[in-house]
Parts: sequence; C-alpha cells; structure tokens
Amino acid sequence: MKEKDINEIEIPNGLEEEMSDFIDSMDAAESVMAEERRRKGAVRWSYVAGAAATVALLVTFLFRQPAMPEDTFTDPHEAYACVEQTLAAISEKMGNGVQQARRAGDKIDAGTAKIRELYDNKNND
Amino acid sequence: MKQISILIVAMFMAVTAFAQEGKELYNKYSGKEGVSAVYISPTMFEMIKQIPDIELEGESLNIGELIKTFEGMYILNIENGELCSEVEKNVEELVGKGRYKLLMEAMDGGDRVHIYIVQDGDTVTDFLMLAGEAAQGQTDGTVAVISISARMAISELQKLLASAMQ
Repeated sequence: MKEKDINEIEIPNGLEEEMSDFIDSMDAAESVMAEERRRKGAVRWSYVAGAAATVALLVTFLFRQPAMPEDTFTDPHEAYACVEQTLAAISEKMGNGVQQARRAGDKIDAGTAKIRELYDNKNND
Repeated sequence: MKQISILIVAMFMAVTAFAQEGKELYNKYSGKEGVSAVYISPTMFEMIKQIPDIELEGESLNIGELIKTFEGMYILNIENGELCSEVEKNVEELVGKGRYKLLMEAMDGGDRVHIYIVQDGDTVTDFLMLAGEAAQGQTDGTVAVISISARMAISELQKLLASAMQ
C-alpha cells in the first residue's frame, strides 16, 4: 500500500481518543500487576526474614544455656552413698515438719476438748 | 506464620527453661566462697541403677527403688550469710513463676524448711527443698538447696513421708 493510499483511509471520529484511553488503561493494568508482583515478592521476603529471626533467636537461646556442670563423683557407689545421705536429710527435715504438725494438732485437740467440756458443763447446769 | 513462629519459639524456650532451673542455681553459686556443691548427672544415675539393691531389715522404704526414679540431683550448701539470703530470694522467684507447688513448710525458731514439687499427673518430676538454719549466737546461718529431677510416682514420695513420720 502506498503512502498516498494510507493517507486516504478515513479515520473514524473519536478513534484517537479511544486508542489513547485504551493505552492508558493498559498502562494502569501494567502498573497494578507490577505492584502486585512487588507486593508478593515483599511478602516472601518477610517470611524469609521471619524464619531467619526465629532461627537466630533459637541459636541465641541455645548458646545462652548454662554449661553442663561436671559430675562431683566418678564412682557410682560414692554417688549412691551421697544420694542416700541426702534422702536421710530430706526425711529428717520432713519428720521435723510432721512433728510440728502433730504438736499443733495436739494443741488444737486440747483446745477443742476444753471448749467441749465448757459446753457440756453449761448444758448440765 | 508469624504467630506460629512466635508460639514455637515460646514453647521451646519454656520447656528448656524449666529443665534449667536447678542447673542455673547450681552454676551461679557453686565454686563461690562458703558454698559446697554436689551434682549427680543423669549418666551417673544410670550407673547407680546398675548397683544391686541392698535391702535393710526393718526398713519400710526401699531407697534403691526410689533412687532408680531419679534423673539428676543438685545440692548446694551455703555458709555465707550474704549468699544465703540471695539464694533464698532466687528460690522464691523460681517458685513464684508458678510451676512448683508447696508440699510442706515448717518453721521452728530460726529454722525453716520449704519443700516444693512439680507434678505431672501421678508423677513427681521435680523436687525442691530449701532448708535454712539460723546459727546460734551469730547473724549468719546456713541454707541448703536440694533439687532433684525424677520420674517418681507420688506413692514413692508418700512412702518417704511415711518413713519420716516413724
């Protein structure tokens, strides 16, 4: 087609505006899609950052753990004897507590008996 | 995702922190002046379990069976007035976290005993005893802390209590 023929083609009214609007809308769609792609990328990065922070926290916490102390005994028989003594000490301390509870119980019983005696005497009068 | 991560980290920290309580106290005070410390590890308890039971006549409590439930033991005996009050405060803070429950409290003059346990159903998983004694004629006293990790049936602890009552 010659240039002359092309120039002779009749352009419908408003086509230019329509084309311009179409290009604008395509441009807008492209911007929206680009923004969406960027946002998706950012979300993925936030996941990565979150996971990295979690791992860093766990590692920090693990390294913060107090060191394992060294065993006091190397001979299990000695260790056994120590545990036995410890249990005896615990038992003694518990026994003291129980004795105190018994003494308190006896005092309460004595008090209750006195009140009962007074109550009975009053009723008999 | 963020909430799940936070939850996982928090759970992990909580579980690990619970297992560290006795160890932290031990590490903090062992080696200091006026402090004698004993640690028996889970490995040593495994070796202790291999020792044949010695049954004593007239003993209602079979200590061997009880010891077999133990997984670790920390003992601190403090004869340093300043440290005594510090340790007692530390134990109070530890108990204040709410995991331990008071099993027994006894006060007699200046002497005091607090026994705490952590229970998982019918099993005692942690035993903590804080015993303080006032020194006669002195301001300084002594404090003993015994922390035991175990898988002890509550009935075994009841037996220990029963033997203490005899």
